[in-house]
Amino acid sequence: MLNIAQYISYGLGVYALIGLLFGLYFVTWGIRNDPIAGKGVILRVMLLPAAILIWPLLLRKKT
Amino acid sequence: MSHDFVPVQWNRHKYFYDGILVVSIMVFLASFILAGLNAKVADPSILIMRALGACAIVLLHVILAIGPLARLSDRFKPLLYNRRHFGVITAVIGLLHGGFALMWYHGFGTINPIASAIGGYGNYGVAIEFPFESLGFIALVILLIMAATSHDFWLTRLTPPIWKILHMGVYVAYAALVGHVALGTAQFDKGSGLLIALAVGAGLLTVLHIAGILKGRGLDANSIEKSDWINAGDALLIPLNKAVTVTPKSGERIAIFRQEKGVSAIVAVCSHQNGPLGEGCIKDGLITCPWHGFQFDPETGAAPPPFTDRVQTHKVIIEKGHVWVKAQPDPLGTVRKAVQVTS
Repeated sequence: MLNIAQYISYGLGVYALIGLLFGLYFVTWGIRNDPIAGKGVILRVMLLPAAILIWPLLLRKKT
Repeated sequence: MSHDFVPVQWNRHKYFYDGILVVSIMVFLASFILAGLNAKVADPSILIMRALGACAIVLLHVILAIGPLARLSDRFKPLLYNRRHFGVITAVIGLLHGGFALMWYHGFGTINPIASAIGGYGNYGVAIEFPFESLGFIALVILLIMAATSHDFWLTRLTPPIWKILHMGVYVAYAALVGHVALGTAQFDKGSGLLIALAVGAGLLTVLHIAGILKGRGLDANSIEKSDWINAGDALLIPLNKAVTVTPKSGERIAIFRQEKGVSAIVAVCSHQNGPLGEGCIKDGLITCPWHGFQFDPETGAAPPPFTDRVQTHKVIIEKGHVWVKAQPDPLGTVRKAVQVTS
């Protein structure tokens, strides 16, 4: 069981890493043309955790 | 409303409720830890961890109770308005509890702490030996996703139906947390009375939800649907500036409002967070959602300027004092003048 758990934890790590890269792209470039979200730095920082967590959902929609 | 996004929409009421919430949490944590120290039941570090976990599950019970309570009594609606902040604080406390537990029990070995927590002990094939921390981990991930996506930006970005599905995950998180606490208690803390408290909490939530559903159904008119038209009953039985609702065979529920100038019908689902518009009322000539106060013109379904939110209208006719509403909604933006009630 421990082996499977190790693979799961590595998988989660990879997911989070991709999420972080995607999230940084999303809050800097992805929403730069968004008329209402593209304004504030604080708002962009607040959006980062969700972008990291749900990046597959966001990839499905054009950023 | 979605005219513009700001990081957090603070106002006097939110400061007030958040202040009470933070003070209550502090009092809860301090009482829990001091009582534990006094009774010498565990190490102070373990007590802090348990206090955070207990606080998170108590808050989750409060969050889940707010919806049905607000439906049962208007007095609880201010809590509904602040539920989002409750949720974010609950997720943060859950994260502190999870982080503390991960470091305390799994952080000093040679195995990756997450792997150790989800697979380092117990037996997934035996119910009573099920590794309870994996259930807590699942609940924490769901609560974090919900907290992270609680901003209105995500509601707009993901669209209300997807956002709503994502946030209905709170019930999955709750079930996982009940399993987490129940198994943890059964495996390591027998006789603490936590299982009884958990059963009482789950029972109360179930009763509240059933009562809330029954109250919601009470708003439904005794409707009859005939060839695309629904008879919603006597127009004068609709309370002034309030609504009755009807549910077509297919499609969203319809809210039929009566005001001085007549009867109007709109889709009963708020475009903000799918709130029950049929449970709202007309204030200053505008239908007001009971959840977050979003407003819509009964005749156009449009929010007042500068807001751009809209809901669909329905065609209404009145025949022999009875309200008939078209089952299919109009295209967005269709204007339907209120139909006068003549007795």
